[in-house]
Order: sequence, then structure tokens, then C-alpha cells
Amino acid sequence: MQRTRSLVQIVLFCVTALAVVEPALAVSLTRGPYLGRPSDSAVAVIWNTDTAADSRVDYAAPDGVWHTATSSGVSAHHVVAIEGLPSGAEINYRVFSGGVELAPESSFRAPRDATETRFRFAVIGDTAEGGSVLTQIADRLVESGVDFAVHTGDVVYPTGAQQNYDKTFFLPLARWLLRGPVLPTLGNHDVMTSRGAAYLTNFVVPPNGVTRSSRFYAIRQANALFVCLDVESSSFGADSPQYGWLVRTLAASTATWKFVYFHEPPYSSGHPNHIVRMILCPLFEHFGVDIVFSGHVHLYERTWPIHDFVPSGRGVVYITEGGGGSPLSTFHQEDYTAFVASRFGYTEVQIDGGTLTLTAHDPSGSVFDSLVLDKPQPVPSAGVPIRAGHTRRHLGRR
Amino acid sequence: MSTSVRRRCLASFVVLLGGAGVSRGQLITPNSSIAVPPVGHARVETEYSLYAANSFVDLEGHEQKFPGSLDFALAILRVSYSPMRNLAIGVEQPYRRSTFEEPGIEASFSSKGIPGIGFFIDWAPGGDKPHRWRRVLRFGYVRARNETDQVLTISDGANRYSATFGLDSPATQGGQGWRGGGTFQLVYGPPLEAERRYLESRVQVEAGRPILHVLGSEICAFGLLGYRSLTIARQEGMFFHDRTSQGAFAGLRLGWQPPARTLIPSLRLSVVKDLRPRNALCGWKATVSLAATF
Repeated sequence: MQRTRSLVQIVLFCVTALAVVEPALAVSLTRGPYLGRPSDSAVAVIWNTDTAADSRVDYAAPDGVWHTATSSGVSAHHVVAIEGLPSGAEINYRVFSGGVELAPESSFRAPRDATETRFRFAVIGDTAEGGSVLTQIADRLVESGVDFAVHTGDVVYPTGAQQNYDKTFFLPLARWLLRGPVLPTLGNHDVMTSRGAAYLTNFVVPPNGVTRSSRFYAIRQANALFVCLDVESSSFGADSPQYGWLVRTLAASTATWKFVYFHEPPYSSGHPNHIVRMILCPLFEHFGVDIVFSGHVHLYERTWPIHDFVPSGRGVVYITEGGGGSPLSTFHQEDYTAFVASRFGYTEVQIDGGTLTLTAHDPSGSVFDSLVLDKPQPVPSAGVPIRAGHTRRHLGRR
Repeated sequence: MSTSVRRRCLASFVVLLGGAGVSRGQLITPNSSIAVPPVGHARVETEYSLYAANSFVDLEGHEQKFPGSLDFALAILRVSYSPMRNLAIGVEQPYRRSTFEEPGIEASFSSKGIPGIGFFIDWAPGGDKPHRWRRVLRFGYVRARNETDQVLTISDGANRYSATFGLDSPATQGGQGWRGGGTFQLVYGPPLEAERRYLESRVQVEAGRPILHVLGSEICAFGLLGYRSLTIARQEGMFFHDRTSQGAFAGLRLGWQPPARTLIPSLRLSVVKDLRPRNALCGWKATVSLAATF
């Protein structure tokens, strides 16, 4: 009887203690969830919690079967990579830490393998003071169903400190970040604090195999190659690791479409970066890059195709997409400019086999510029210096 | 027209130029010498410099090496005339050729032309008296040519006002001792359409001594050391950045001074290397100049 009473007392003590301690241990979400792309075929689900805890993602493909992915150890910054997803499928997911489901169920589009030829992506840039403009853009991205968004840099203002990220990036874009990864590049403001240390922590992108941190990287999506360069905190000169990596990456690519993005535009009616133009642009032409996306200047601009530094009927089209919400820039239109407008917005690109349709949108979704590029099939073979033969139809302003 | 009347006319012209705000001056190179010719005489100076840029170094010190060759050639003709004691007015006409070649992938571009025109007034306080140090002050203005953006522009489109102070120790009799000198220049560019104002300061000091005397002529060797700082990265007719730029330079100069009272021009040859540039090109500059007083 005495032993039974003692046992009951112990059990009661444990239950009481658990009831008291449990709320203190409850994990809560402080950022996210949002998505990254650690490789061509994987998606990373990322979130932050107020205390260190384990990381678990439950996900389901269209077949409805739920799977679980975890990462080892406990942390307040959680990154769970999911591999082996069916190409282009809509994936539902839920995130857990400490056994607590931290956010409502959401979904993302799985990476598309090289056999696919149709997809859409968006380009945003200079979102750092975006506020309500950026929130509107996030809504448009969700509605459009693009696979991911390329970011042309200056993710945060005024410096790249970690405390600036929630207010200027994660909160305004939250609705989109649940559904699609952002493939970012470093802007001059992003590298102002510790050479962009917070940026490198926050975003998950593929390794480049050359440097320890992925300040520059490449990713393949369907029949397109996306190359991100760092012209703000890494050398890109002819003897730099980045330059050699770029040559190798472009030369080895068999993708039908090649896109390059980095922060400061080499051609701009605002402030072009002549050094980038002289060092990198000849490579883009030589290896058949189709479009180069940049930001830095707070407007939208599209050049005529440029070959050997001057506008011509063939060559590389340079797009400046810096209308993510920071105060708009003035400009003096240059001869190589096909269209320039000092307005907020984002750019959407649709790939359909050998046809590319680019549209520039204001935050309400209205189109104010467009471009169509066609290229003959089949794609060129790898390792051959190519000059992509484009025919271009400019739809002009709407 | 008598000599005195002609001098008065020229002096009036100088005063008018100054009053109209046009008298302001200048492109200088490591070779540039600022001197006021004797009253009623003209001074002609030509400079030809070739600047080979190997790389661009950004503000953080990252060196971006060019995959090909980037060369800037600059020819300058300066003519000044002294209408009155210790004062000269002059005009400067530059011509620039910029070339970029990347043979590996057959990319090339060049541009050439007149980037603008400059006017200047030189004033040498106490210039006709024997001094250990010869001082000259130059006020100048360069009217830049407007140009649309190309990969290499011969003009950055910015007009410039400048004040340059030149100091040097002329040859003494016998001329074996050490000599020195220097220039200090302040440049101001008014705000442009979408750009803020532009300020540049540049200082150059030099020291050397004669190394050879032949038939009344003299060859001197000088060591040069300088520093320039700009609020906007402009260089060699190009606009690189709207951020600050700076850098030092060092080099050597040989000067050949012909015998006095001849019309043979003096010759200067210098080679200068950029040191620790930030947001600026990094390379070598070689300059040849000839100057004569008539």
C-alpha cells in the first residue's frame, strides 16, 4: 500500500513537472519556412526557430504517399534537403521541430530534369526597400506559378546584416517564399556586412566546386542553364577562380537556353559596369548566352542584342530588373537600349522548347514590355564554342 | 600695332576670359611642366602617353585582371603665350585613342577622337626674380565632349575646373646639386544630369639630380611619387563607378635640357607604375614630352 502510494506520488510529480516544463520547451517559428536549391535535383526546406531543435519535413508527391526527410543534429537554423522528387511535380510539405508542426501545409514545384522543355521563372531585383511593392510582387509570383525566382541582388538594405533580412526580405516575400526558391546573387549592399556572411547563411544554393562558399554557382532547370556570378565580393578577372569556372561551366553546358545573372549591369542607361563588360561580356557572346539579368539600377531595361560591344541583329540581350521596390532611378537612354522604364515590377520568362517569351510586369501584373526569342533545335553539342543562331521578334511595349 | 598696345589687348583678353568664367584648366601627366614663358613669347608643349592597364582593382582590393589588352593613348598639345609679366594664357588640345583586344575569343573594340578642349591661365608670382624654388599657379578648364556610352569612351562627359600649383627648383650655375619639385592639383566637376559633383585631388613630388652634361646640355634623372583621390571613379576618359577612387603611383623620369638660348625643345621621358589602386585601373604609363619657348 505504502509502495503504491509512493508510485502514485512519483507519477503525479512527473506529470506535474512535465506540464510545467513543456510550455517552456515549445519550439516556435522565427523565420520561414522558405526554400532553397542545393543541387539541380534537390530542394531544401529552410526555417528558423527560437530555440535549437531537431528538423523534420514531411512531404508528399501527387501520389499522396507521405515521406519524411530530416537533418542530423539540433539547431535554430534548419535546413532539410529533399532528393529524388518526381520531375516538375507539385510537392506538398509540412515542417516540424521538437515534434511541433510549425506552419500550415504548403507546396512547391519539384526541380525539372533535363528532358523537360517547358517551364517558367521570374526575375526580381533590388527588393531591399520593397515593402508593399514587394508584397504585391510576391502575390503575383504565387498567382503566376513560376518554378522559382532569380534575384538580381541587393536583397537587403542598408547593409547585409542578419537583422535586416526579416523586415526587408522574408516578411514582405513570405507568401511566395513558401512556394518557390529564390536563386539570389550578391548585391553591393548585401556584401557590406562581413562580405555577405548573413546572405551565405540564409540562402541554400549549389556548391561551385571551386570555392568554399557558393558566392557563384550554376544550376540546371529543364533545358536551361542558370549561372550566378559574384561581381561584388569575388574576383572575376581573367586569372580568377570564378572566371575559369565560368568558362568551364559554359563550355560544358548542353542546355538549349543559357542565362547568366549578377548584380551590376554591364549595359545600362543608369550606371553600367564597364569592367564587367570588358571582362565577362565577350565570354557570354562566345558561349552563346541568351540573356544576362542584372539589377543595381532601380528600373527595368532591355537592350538590343549586343555583339562585340555594340547593338546588332544577334548577340546577348541584357535585362536590368531592379524594380523590386527600392526608390526608382533616373536614366539617360543609351543607343543600345531597346526599352527602358523607371518603374517597379518583375520579369517573367516562359520557356517552351526553342521559344522564349519574356514579359516585364508592374506590381499589379500588367505587362509593359515583352520579347520573344526563337532558336532552332536540336541543341548544340557540349564543348563546342557556339554562336546560337537566334531569330528575335520584339513585341514591343503594350 | 605697337608692342605695348598688343600686350594690353592680350591682357584685356585674359581678364575677359577670367571674368567670363572660362579661364579654368587641366589634364596633367607625370611629365607635365608648368612654366610661364618670357613676356611676348609663346611656349609649346606636346605630350604623348601610353597607358597599359593590366587590371582593375575594386574598393575591397579585388584585382580584376583583363583577359586581353586595354590601352589608352593620349596626345596633348599645349600652347601658351605671355602677354604680360609673370602671366600666360593657353589652350590645350587632347586626342585620345582607347583600345581593347581579347584575341582568345576575337573580341575587340577601339575608339578615338578629341575628348574636349582646355583653357588655362598660368601665373608665376615673382617669376622673373631668381629664386631657389620656381612657383607657378595654373587655373584651368576642360570642356569635355558629350558621348553616349560605349565600351570605351574617349570622354566621360564631365567638364572640369582645376587649380594646379607647380613647384620646381631650376638648374643652378654648375647644376650638380639635388633638385626637387612637385605639383598639387584640385579638380572640380559640376554635377551632371544623374550624377553628383566630382572632386579630384592629385599630388606628385619628385627629386633628382643631373647625371650627364654634354655640350651645354644636361640630362637629369628624377624619382616620382604621387597620389590621387577622386570622389567618382573616372579615369582615361571612362566612368567606372560613382564611388570613391584612389591610388598612388611611382616612377622615374629622365629630362634632357638643351643649351640655353636655343630653339631646340627640351625632352622628358617618364615611366610610372600604379601602386595600391582602389576602384581604379592598375597599369603602367609611359610618357614622352617636348617643350620649347619661341
